[in-house]
Amino acid sequence: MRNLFKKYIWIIAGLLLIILLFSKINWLPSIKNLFKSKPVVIESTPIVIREIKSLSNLITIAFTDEIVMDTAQIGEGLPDILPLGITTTLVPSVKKLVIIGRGKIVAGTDLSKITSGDVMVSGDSVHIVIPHAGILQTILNPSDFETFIEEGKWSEAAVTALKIKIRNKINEHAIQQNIPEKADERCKLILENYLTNTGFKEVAITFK
Amino acid sequence: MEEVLALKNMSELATAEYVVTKIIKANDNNTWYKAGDRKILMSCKASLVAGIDLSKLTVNQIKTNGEQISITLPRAHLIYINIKPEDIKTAYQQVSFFRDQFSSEEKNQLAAQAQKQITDAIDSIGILNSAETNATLFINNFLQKLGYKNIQINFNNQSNPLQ
Repeated sequence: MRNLFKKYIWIIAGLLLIILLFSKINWLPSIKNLFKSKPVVIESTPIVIREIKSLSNLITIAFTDEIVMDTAQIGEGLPDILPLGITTTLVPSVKKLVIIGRGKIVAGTDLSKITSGDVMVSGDSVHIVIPHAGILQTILNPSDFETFIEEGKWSEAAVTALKIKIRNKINEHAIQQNIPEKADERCKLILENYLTNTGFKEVAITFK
Repeated sequence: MEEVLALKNMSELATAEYVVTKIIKANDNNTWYKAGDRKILMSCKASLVAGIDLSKLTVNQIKTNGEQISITLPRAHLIYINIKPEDIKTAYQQVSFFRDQFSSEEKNQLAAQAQKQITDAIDSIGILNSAETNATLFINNFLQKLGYKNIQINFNNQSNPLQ
């Protein structure tokens, strides 16, 4: 009886060793993968061009910033433990949403505002009056957002509002960091280099 | 609140902007153990901006001789894509009884896939050609204001169709 028990122990130990060995060299299907949700992939749909614009923007500064923004609301009913359709108002819950946004601001000068009267050439000297730089775009694409906490059901409008708050905060930071002024300096430098390369000996850039 | 700041100098001449729209269509029925499916239909509007990287323009690519000037510009490229949060809208969704609604994170992931599809299709929508044409026109006008009479603008490895 004791020998039989010992024999079974050896068989079980041997099997466990084989399973361990096979799983180490990835010969066994992973249980984790078996119960892993398949990613939702969007279908390939056409891209429709709605508008075409001509620009003359000299982008001179890119400012990146990362903001964490949260919001909370008193929810209705139980927290999200029940499937859709079963709503109840038995226990009020607190909904919480925390989003991380990594945005980019591009600043520069709209060169289309330079008129013929703003360019004065005399021999190998040139004087150009340019408009001041500004923030051209605040870029916060879907790939720039990360939802850190999402508790409860949030309406699309509430989520969008939080994302817009992140964008506004990034804009505020850009102004605090004097990004338009820095873009002005860069624009002046780029145009001076460009005009020197095109053969001008004396180059003067001033602002409107 | 934690913040990471970074500042980068750029020399991009943005010359073309395309505003495009795309329908985002997805069906979540591929996970075998989940009963029922979920379908969603969203729309998004993206702004694509393309132009010329002037930092790649070297002294050797600008040749002047009196009132003549010849410039070889780098090829146009996509400077940025911008899909504003308010330009992503859910038009329709159908969720089976045993499934949860699409969360905001899931919707965001779907929109990020659309963003990638739009970026990958950049060559086929013609924005790069428009950017090069507009860059040629803008630089041509600018050089005329500077007094140049004979202006030749080319692009790296290819002559400009306008010339």
